[in-house]
Amino acid sequence: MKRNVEDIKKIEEILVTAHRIESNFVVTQEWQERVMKHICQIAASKIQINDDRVFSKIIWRFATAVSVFAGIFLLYAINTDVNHESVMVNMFLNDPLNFIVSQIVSP
Amino acid sequence: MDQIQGETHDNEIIKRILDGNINEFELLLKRYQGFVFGIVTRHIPHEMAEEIAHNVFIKVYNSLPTFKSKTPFKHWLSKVTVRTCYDHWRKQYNSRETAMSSLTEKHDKWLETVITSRSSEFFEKEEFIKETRETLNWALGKLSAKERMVLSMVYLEGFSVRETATLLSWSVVNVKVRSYRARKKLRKHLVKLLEQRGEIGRGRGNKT
Repeated sequence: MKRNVEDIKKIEEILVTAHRIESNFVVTQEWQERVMKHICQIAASKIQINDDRVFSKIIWRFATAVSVFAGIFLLYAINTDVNHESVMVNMFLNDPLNFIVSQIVSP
Repeated sequence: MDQIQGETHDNEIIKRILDGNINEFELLLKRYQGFVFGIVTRHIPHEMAEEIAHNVFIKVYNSLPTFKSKTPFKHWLSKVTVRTCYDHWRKQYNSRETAMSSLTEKHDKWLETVITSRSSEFFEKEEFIKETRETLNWALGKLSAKERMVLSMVYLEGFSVRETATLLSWSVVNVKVRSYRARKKLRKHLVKLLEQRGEIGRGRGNKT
């Protein structure tokens, strides 16, 4: 048993020493190039994502403006008692040049 | 040594990278690749070192916006490197892809040499160092990812408990408990190895 403990201590010491020996690992130029290439790819995809974000930001701002405008128009239509059927009838009745009818009928 | 004399300060380079000057990253890469490989090769077998070091620099690039210039870049980089090594082992153990290689007859001879020879003779041979590292890798492969990391940092590299806790972002108590348990476990495996060798020796003796 005592011999076993001594052997273990010896093995442990050797394992630690071997671990601490500096390894002469050579970093290659190809490795550097690979890393830089990957970095550039990530940067490019980040720029693409940013562009998409800016575009969607503009779309959503535009959508907000359209909704506000539609809301205002709806309020105006309700207040002025306008509905699209009466507008259409008025257009047909006040169409002396037969402009709208000819537009619809013509091929 | 955050600032190297005559060279641009790390924080200045980082600012330029964040401003969109990606090529400046090459300066950081060249400045710290040796440092990163130094850490990686102590935790990861050499054949995987390039891949892990690659991942470290990608992580560094992606996390640069979160880097706080109050702490030295080198310190932050060492944290990222250690964490990447730990993540590698965690993934390997989870997917059970780690080759739990069994020791060959060559390593059996290694064990015999260790026990019967004087320590001073060992490290003169490159082959012996290689076999020792393989044996160490085999023994570490028997531990969990957490145990493996904490054992290599505290016991094999000689980091203090506090330093290890900072690098791994663990509590001091956690590091203390885990390193103690890991060392005990490692010793248990070495004892088993010795016993196996004894049995093999006896088996060989019986055959002859």
